[in-house]
Amino acid sequence: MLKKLLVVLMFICLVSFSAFARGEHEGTTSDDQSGRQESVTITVQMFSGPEYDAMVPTVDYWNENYAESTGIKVNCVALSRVGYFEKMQSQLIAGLDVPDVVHPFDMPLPKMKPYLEDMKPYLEDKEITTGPEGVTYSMDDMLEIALQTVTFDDGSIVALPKDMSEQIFYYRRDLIQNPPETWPEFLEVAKKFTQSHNPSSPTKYGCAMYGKYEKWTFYSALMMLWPAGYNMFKPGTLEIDNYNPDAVKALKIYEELFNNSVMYPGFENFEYPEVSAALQSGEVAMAIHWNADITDLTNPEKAPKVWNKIGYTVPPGWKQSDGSIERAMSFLTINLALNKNSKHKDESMKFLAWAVFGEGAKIYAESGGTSPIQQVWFADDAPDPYPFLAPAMTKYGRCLPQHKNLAELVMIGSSWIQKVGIGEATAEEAAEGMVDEMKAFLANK
Amino acid sequence: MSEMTVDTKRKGRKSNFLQRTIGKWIEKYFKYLMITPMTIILLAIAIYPFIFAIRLSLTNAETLNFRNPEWVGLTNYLHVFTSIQFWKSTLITIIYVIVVLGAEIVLGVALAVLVDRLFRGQKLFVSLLITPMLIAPVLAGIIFRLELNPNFGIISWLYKSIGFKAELLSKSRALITMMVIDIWQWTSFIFLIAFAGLKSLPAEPFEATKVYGANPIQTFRMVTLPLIKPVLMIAIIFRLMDAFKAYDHIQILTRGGPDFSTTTLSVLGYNFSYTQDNFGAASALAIIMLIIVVVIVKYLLKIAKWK
Repeated sequence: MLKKLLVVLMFICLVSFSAFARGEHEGTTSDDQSGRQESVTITVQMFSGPEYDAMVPTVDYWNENYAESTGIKVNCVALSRVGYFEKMQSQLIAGLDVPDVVHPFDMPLPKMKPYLEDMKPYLEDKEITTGPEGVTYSMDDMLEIALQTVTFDDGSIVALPKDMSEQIFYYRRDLIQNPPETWPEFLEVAKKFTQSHNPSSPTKYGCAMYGKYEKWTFYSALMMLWPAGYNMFKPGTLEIDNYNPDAVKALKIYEELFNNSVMYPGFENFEYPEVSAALQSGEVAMAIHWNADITDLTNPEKAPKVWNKIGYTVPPGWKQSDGSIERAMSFLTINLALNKNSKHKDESMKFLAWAVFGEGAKIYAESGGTSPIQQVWFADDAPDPYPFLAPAMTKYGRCLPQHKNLAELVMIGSSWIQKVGIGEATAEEAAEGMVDEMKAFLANK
Repeated sequence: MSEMTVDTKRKGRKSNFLQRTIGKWIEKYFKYLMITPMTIILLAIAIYPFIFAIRLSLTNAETLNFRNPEWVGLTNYLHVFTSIQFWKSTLITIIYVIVVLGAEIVLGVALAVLVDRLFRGQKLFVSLLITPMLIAPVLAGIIFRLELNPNFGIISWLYKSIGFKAELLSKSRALITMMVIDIWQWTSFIFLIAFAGLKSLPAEPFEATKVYGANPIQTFRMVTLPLIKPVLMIAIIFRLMDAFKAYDHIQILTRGGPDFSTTTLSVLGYNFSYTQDNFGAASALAIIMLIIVVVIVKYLLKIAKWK
């Protein structure tokens, strides 16, 4: 009996020891015996997709060239896109010290602010803003429209824009010589390239649109809504604007797209991967879609059917009384923010400054990212698509104002866009319903 | 030599006494000692979150004030009960549970009876049949997201080649598709339990049915089914609890859409938390769901005891 007891106790001790023993792991500091700088590993956590794909070579470059001299090693990890923001939110609320750097959109920044470090003091420290390559960075290098998405009224900067995503208009340039200028024209072109309307159409469907119950559906629709005169908030306030008949005009486009069956089937579940696949299949003539897919859609290996046939331009708009066309390109920034509980804030900021303003920004851009800094966007030798994006965004770029419940309000908008796109609501019902529901939601807060 | 013998005997008696006393104590309390670590862990991972959820359900917790929310009493419960979406989601969940449970029981038991009758390849069939159950539900969602893609999904293609026009994830079809995925994945659970139950049945009642000339259907109805009912009841209770919480594949495929047609109670809870940033209401909904499940399970256990 005693022997059995001793064996069991030994087993428990072994299990406990292996469960609780702490070896060296990310985030710890190790003493280097040769007397070189203590090395620190910081964790940058992103969501998977083209932004992470562009970040990997950026991080590799840093680790190969600067990890030793700065003592800062970077571990870049990707979590699934699905549920990323909820996971990130939970990690920050729980007060975890890892990851050091997170990857939020601009939308949730107002409500995540208490959990993110104010970067302004770091960006005023020359030690941080002088890169390992010897260059001193300046906030003036950042595109102003990008910077405003992360700057709050109190002057704090809670994140650094690493990427700027814009919704642009993709079309088959081999089939469409003159892309539609207005949304009604867009509808007509969509019918022309849908086989149920035009049996001789080379494509099955006229367009692919975002329709999933997800934030991006509303961002897509804003390109119709904004230039039509719709505003989510009353000018200069954060109060939901009243019902606007101009919104009906814009939402009617979705209604007509549905009624005429010109959208690629599955609209109600379409977001980035599905719209991308629809374009790559060659069965669709046009799409409203994020600029991040330009790299893949023009890659002969990834889009063999259409890589040399895809064109992109500014989205259609609405003709004004003076004959001009009012357009809007909705954009958002995808940022790198510092966890308030991180144990390596200085080191993380040092890396971030380089990645956002320095060499890292150029490497990121060359790898397919859209670094929102002047040297990348307005450089004489800027790679595609910057020569298109830079002037387009300067002229038409528009983002939603900061609001602590912006993410929730956008989801309400998305749900109504989806309803119209699947014939469950008319444009009129959606225009009214959206406003009423947003007001009711905020009234409960 | 006799001194050594006495000494040894004395020492021997002492150590025997110690061993007996300690041994008795250990025998008596050993079992409690062994289950203590697991009990502590279970209390930590089950009871503490439950108490935390109750506390959260009585506050106005959202992201900004999560660490210091205000007490609001039963406001969140009122908010849940007066929400139209709650009642819609309850109906969707009830339909979901009844359909998937019914289908899984019928298919699972049928497969178990068929495989039990096989003379060869039983192990192979069992291994193949339980494979869907081994896949994580989230992964199943991702697999079906690809398979149902209207561009390149095999299932989508097969469905359309039969002649159907509506998409499998359209508003009219999405809930059915979610249920089919659930049935595909979890029929194997019922099958496994039923199969194990069949294997443990005594041979005598079946020999008696042969003597009395009962046909296979009569044998199944009057002998097999009553004998495996207790085991089946346990499987049903487990599946009921799981089906009631259906979430993973729905979140991956439709996020509760289109137009909230697949928003089960669990998906609604997620929406309360992360889409509406209302952790208080989400916790209130979770407590309500717990009460509903406890009531149903108690009732089922009562039925199981009677039969």
